[in-house]
Amino acid sequence: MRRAERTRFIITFLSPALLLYTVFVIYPLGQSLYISLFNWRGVSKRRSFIWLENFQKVLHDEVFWKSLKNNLWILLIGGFLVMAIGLALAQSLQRRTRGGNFVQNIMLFPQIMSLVVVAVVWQFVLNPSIGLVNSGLALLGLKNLQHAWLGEVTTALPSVIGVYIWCGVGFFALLFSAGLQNIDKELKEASQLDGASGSQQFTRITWPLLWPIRKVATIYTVINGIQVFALVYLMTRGGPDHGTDTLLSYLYFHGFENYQFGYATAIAVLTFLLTTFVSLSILLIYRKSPMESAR
Amino acid sequence: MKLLLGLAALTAMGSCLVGCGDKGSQSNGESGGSEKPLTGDAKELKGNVEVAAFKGGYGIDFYEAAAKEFQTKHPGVTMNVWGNPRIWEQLRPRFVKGDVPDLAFPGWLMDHWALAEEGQLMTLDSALDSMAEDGKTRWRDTFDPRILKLGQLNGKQYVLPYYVMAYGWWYDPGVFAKNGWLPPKSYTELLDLCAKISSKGIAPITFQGQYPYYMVNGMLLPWCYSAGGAQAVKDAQNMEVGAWKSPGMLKAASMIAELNDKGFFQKGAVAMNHTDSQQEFLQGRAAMIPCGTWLYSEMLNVMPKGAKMEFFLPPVVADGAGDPTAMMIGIEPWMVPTDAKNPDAGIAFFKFMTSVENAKKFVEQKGTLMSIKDSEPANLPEVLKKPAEAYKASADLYSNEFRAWYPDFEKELESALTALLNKQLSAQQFCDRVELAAEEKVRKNDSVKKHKVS
Repeated sequence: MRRAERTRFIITFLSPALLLYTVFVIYPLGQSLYISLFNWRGVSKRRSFIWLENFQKVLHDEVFWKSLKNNLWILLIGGFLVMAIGLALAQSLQRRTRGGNFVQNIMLFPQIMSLVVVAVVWQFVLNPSIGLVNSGLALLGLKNLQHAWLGEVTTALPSVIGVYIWCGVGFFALLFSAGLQNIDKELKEASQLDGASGSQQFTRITWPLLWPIRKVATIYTVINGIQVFALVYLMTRGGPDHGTDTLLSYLYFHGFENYQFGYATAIAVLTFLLTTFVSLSILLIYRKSPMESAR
Repeated sequence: MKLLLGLAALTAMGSCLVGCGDKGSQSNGESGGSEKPLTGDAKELKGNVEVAAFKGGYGIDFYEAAAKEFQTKHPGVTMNVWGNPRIWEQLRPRFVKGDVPDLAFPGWLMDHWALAEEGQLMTLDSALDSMAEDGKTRWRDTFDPRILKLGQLNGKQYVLPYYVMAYGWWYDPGVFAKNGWLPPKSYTELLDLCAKISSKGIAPITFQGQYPYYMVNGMLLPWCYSAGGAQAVKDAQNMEVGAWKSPGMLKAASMIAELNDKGFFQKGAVAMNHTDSQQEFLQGRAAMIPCGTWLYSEMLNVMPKGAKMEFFLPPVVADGAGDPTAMMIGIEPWMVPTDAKNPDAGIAFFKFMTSVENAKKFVEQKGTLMSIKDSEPANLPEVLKKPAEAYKASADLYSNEFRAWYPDFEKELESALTALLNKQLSAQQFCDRVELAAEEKVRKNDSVKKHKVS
């Protein structure tokens, strides 16, 4: 009887969350998979079932692979730098100074700003004619370094990655700050007494103890890197010559501009599978705490 | 989470597909449009009329005011006019569900040909054969037939034009007069002029680099027309084999490459969006810009004091095969959905809006050309005088139709054009790449419905 009561209790408390999850996550996912099997323009109920043809076409689509490559650049370069700079900032902010407090206060600004605002502001900054970057270079007598930052294939993606880092670094600094503050001060003090240098303290104490934060940060970075859309769409619309197209901007093009809804949904499903695969791989890599293995 | 939300957005329309009593055909829907005709002869109009209109540069205030007048004239109807700048996004799921407005102007990103092909639009020929608002003329005869035909598919009228956009180039007559420059008529004159402008430290030409279709419509196609004649552009639109690397197209691409190589395009324009580059032109940092006739109303609020703009046709190739008066135009069409609940009243309202009197008012208020004959008011806005002259004098009006037919091809064309401007492709390589795109994205692609320019 008590067991039955307990089951009922669990079901009662789980069901609202489960229901919401089913309606807003499981059902759309299932339906996306279903739509991706159709040739459907998304303007009427007319469509034809084509099995996996959309997937076959996507996998042979050069722009899809180019977009994926761009995502990986954003993820690897942008993701690595955003975490590295975030951690460095967090570490330097551990000592309370007036400058440090100021940085701490302003570093979250980009994070709380709407991405639309961020994109528009940076479009102005990078404007080839009146932008701060080119004007600054001209002032420094470096006119030969001026570029049409968002219009040239060689500079567009690095520019987008730069803005991506600018946006994200505050959040990661905050995340790592919280992690650093959780590390027992006595450990550091003890290591200092034992004669550990600053870098030894970081590699032997701080880095291993930041493991749970690093795990969260990595998953967050990966998911963010794969899902870049608004920044790209607003700043470059995927151009020049697909130079900044990402999986989601390419998906948007096919779904909402090219009127190939089935095809767009196939891209969405593949992106979902990729995100799931990468996230699970990270969980696998991080499955064992280094502290556990040290014991 | 963003991805899940994205998936949810994509599947929101899918919900309609599977959830709203799916009567959808499992076939690939290759048949033509709806055969449901609209007579437009209803004597007594009544009921609610929903008009969904794209809120672009011309706003929707004119339509709202017209709806009020229409309601006064027909007390039995209740008009509901609404709109926003991305209205197609709201209308698409409604088309899928069958819950549609009675009259729609869904804007430039709605694939109206897909709607027609999938039976979502009423045929409007019988309505066009009914009497116009004045009760004396056949409604069809009140339209410029050259514009009306842009709304036809397989010989049937599915969509109707209202205002007409003309594509050309713009310059500031004040700046030109001060320097003793004249708008160039031929490409040779253009090269000479560009050299003179450059020597004054001004960029001769700027362009909307992030939206390369401005250059497709303002340079590539007009120069292909000029060099290769009307047939060269027609063949390109019809995706005939080899048309995108025809001598006319190659010449047009070479002209763009030459201007680029000579440094006559504003430095950095390839990264500019439409407002950035148009602002550069208005600020006097660039002397000319290709754009449609909406330029004035689009930039009116940010025009510097003293700035002026005047229209001229793209300079032509001397001794080219094309008629030098030919003009590229475009429409943003209106339509009556098949599932409309009150289509007679919807089309009656559009008929009311297309009366010569209302069309004249639209020209006066919005400063655009119209598809309605004799709609030029006595006090034509200054900025519209030159486009109106060119429009009247034009021996041939043509339109970029493949952009709406084959968006995937258009995207590849635009990407290739950007690569040409970034000097990653030569003119020949540009043509080869676009020809390949025509083959792969259109000719060989079975899921794309093929069209022909009539």
